[in-house]
Amino acid sequence: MEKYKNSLFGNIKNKLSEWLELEDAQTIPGQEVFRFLHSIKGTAGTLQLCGLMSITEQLLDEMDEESDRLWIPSDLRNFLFDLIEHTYEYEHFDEIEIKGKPVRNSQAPLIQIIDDDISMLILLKDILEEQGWMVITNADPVKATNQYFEMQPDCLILDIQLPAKDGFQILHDIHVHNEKYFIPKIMISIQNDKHTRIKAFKMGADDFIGKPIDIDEFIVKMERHIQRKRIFDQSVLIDELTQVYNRRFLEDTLPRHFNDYKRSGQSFTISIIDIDHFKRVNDQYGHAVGDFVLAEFAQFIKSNIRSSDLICRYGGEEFVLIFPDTSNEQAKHKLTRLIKDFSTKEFIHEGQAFSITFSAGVFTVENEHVTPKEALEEADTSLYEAKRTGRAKVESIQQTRFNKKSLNVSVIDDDIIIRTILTKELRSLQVPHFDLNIAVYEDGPSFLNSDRAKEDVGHFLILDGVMPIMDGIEVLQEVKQGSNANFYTVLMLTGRKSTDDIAKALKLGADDYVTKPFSITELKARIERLLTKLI
Amino acid sequence: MKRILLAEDEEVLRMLVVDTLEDEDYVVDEAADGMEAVQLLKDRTYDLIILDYMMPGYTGLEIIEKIQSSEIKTQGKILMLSAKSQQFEQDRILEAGADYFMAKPFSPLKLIEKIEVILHEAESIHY
Repeated sequence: MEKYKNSLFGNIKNKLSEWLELEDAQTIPGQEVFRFLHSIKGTAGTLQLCGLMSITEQLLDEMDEESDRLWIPSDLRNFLFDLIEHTYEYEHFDEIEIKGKPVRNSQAPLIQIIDDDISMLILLKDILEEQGWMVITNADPVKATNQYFEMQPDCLILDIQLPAKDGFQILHDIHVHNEKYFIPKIMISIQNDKHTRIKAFKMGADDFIGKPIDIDEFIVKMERHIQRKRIFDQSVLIDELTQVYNRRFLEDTLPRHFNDYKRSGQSFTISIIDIDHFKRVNDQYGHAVGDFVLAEFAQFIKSNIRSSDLICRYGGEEFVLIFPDTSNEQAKHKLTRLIKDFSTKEFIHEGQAFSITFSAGVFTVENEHVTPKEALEEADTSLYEAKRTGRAKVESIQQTRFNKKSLNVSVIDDDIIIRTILTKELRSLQVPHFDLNIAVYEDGPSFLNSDRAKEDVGHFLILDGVMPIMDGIEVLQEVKQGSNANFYTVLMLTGRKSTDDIAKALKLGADDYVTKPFSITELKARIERLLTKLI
Repeated sequence: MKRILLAEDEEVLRMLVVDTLEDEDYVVDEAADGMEAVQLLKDRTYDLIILDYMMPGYTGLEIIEKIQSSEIKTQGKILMLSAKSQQFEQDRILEAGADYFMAKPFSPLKLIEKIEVILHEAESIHY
């Protein structure tokens, strides 16, 4: 059966490629599309390809056999997208492989590896990614140090022997940062003597692993470090009474949200909330009840917001909420709902029931020039307005201007199927306040000769490593030698086995690589991460 | 040895059916569209003619019309394959002159079973 399945998908791929490569002025008769889908459906059923059969069935349902419609290629591409994606996935995965491999999302723990031994780097990356973690790698110590500050990984793996700057020097460079943030740092080295080990620990390493590395032990150690990092993040910075983050955490974390915004343009919303007439609760029922109400209130809010949202106790009965990737309207809507729900909650003290309300002030950060302090002041002003106009409500003062930044995103790949899928996925990416300017190229020269290649604006490049005419490494080299090299962030798509290519790509300054085959979901998460963190 | 004509435009399905039939020691001629099928039918006779309903060139029904109108002379039984599996479509196909009907998608084993029954029936009428 395998033989027939492969032939069928081969034929589908050829037909799709033929259609997708047509110029926009050309058209495809609807009846031809119908017949194509119709015959695939029949064959798919016979070959017991259920997924393929149901996709074609659905598409046929949306079509009219007798219709004289002429499709233009771009419409047809949208219409057939599920089939295109399915064909890609069939070609690149067998089902077992998909199931066995955890799909990483953009919330996965982020591990940074700095090692100039490329085969080691690739091996460790593969192993760690199999655990469902996301790994960024760098062979160049200077670039790596910058990346460390920008990305703030959850864990750092660092080789001692590096060219230009050794691992100890990197530890020294990030020393200041270490005092404020806990990021487990694991040194690896072929030099496994007592003196080196002691030096590593003295300089702030949390662990030391000698080469050759025992993989099983390495994984267990990494699990522990990541777990400890998570527990640490949650414990030290937590308010004892209410069990939510404290003010210190807020002060640490807020600037990070602003930096993220500057890089990504992804607006977020801050809210200050405050319990109404809290003094009366204390006066009437005593401080013990007051404390109980505070703790209940904080837990109520915490359990009713998304896991990506944050609540911190700001002081007294005042709390600050951070809603990432949330518009002013969405935050207001959410808070209105919370106010309503909380007001129905009944507190009982010595047989006497009472209820509590709260008010909220909201401010959405969508302007680069706002500082964290100003943002909190704005939210506070809005909170005051809510209190003044009756309490148990939300108010916001909204900024009117923000600057849209332009970002060029280019895909260079000779495979029309991959180009089509990536274009569609990139269009669906949520990067508000960024003008994503997406373009695709089927080979290196047509990109390098284009005007946009030379533009002095942020440029995200997704580059296939192996292409006819000019391969990806050569394109990367050209880009990195250009006068606007600093504007580029490059993600390479490479073959699983091509260690040499990965080494070359990283040495030439690629920012990340993904080995083929990749799952679309995963690639999308990676692109999102790079877009929001690196640019 | 029984000789069968298979007219089916979907290449992979045709491959699969041909391989399956040849494994059962039938001799199979393939046609990738209606035109080829008509050409082959004019050249020789078959014990069984398997026609896909929807094909470029001539559709399965158009080929049956040609047989009915004696434009093509053939003795063979006709088995029509179609994804139109509703009863009225089936009836229409049988009324038009097909002897048997098989709904797509089908499993290759079921097709073999059906073919054996058809050819056996044809024989028993003969003797």
